[in-house]
Amino acid sequence: MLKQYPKRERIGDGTEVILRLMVKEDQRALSEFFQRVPQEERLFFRDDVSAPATIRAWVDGLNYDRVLPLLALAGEKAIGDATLHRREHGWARHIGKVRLVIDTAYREKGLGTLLIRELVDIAKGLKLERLVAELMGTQQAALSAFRHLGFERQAVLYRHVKDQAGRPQDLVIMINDLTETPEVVSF
Amino acid sequence: MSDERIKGRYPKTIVLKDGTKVLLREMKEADREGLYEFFTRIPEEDRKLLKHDVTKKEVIDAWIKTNEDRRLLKQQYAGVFPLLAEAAGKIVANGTLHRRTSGWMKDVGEVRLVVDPDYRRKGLGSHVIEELILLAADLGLEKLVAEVVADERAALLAFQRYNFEQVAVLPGIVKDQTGTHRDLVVMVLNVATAYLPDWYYF
Repeated sequence: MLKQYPKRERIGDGTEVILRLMVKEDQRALSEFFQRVPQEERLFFRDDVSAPATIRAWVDGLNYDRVLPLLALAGEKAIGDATLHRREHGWARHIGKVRLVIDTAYREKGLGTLLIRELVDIAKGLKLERLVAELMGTQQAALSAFRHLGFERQAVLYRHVKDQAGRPQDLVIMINDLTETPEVVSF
Repeated sequence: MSDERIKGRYPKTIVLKDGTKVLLREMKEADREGLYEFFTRIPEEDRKLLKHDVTKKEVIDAWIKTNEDRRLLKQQYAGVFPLLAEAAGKIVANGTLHRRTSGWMKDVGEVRLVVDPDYRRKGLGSHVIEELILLAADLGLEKLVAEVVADERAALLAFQRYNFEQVAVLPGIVKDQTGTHRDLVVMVLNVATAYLPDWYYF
């Protein structure tokens, strides 16, 4: 199932993108990608993405069983990074968490939706049962896109997180039940 | 400043309701064997709910190493703070405070707790939770999260006693070792509203 990559897709504005798994050699392209992420969005990352050491640690420690990073590239440039996080053990081993970053110049073109849809398919192939996405309550476009992809709002933690201005915002937990098969309606 | 306050606190001896004396202290490199042995006393149904495979020595070795690395860098209170409870010469409980150093959740910590079955129903879990709350307060964390599997009544009550509130139930999200799906209760404490012991304010 991962053998389908690399593959070509087109996004909303006609740009051709290549989708493929991240490899060690992507270090430079990734560093440049994360340099382009606006300062205020860096708060969504657990690690300091502006530090070369962070990116190096990621590519050196690539382990698709734990973190499966799917990249979108326009030519040589990385323009999107969607990651599927899994646990090998414990009560959440059947659950994946998805995270997504899209280059600001390539937003609102369906790239985010494309990448998440790919991760949903990959997750089903890996026999995961649920996918979790965590979003800030103010991320309306993203919340809507995830809903469209089969994620449902399962919980809202009131004023749980801080935005770039340090203001408390709600944390929305969205869950996609991968075991639900759509009902076929005879019409 | 808060680090000084924390450093002086451990080790400390507490006395449980039944008179058992327990030593609360920070984890050290020398705890390697003691931790391997502690986790063999945890029943499988509890072990399978933990996020890590504690039957694997390399998992525990990694914890010890991370803890030592941070201690050497004098960054002990970044990341994971592990608190151990020791009685009768062995480790009988392990509580951890997890925190991120940056990002949208840097003011939110998570508490996790494992207690030897022979030392349950004695108030030990509550003591450890209280210590982790104090630690969170000293570190300036604003909220604490505890994730409890729905039918663990003793744990739910222990957290509630410190003013953790149930903010969400994720239905069927937990898969235990038999493959049974159970609900996960997410509890959140606003650290400022926690019930802290009087001595903390002295």
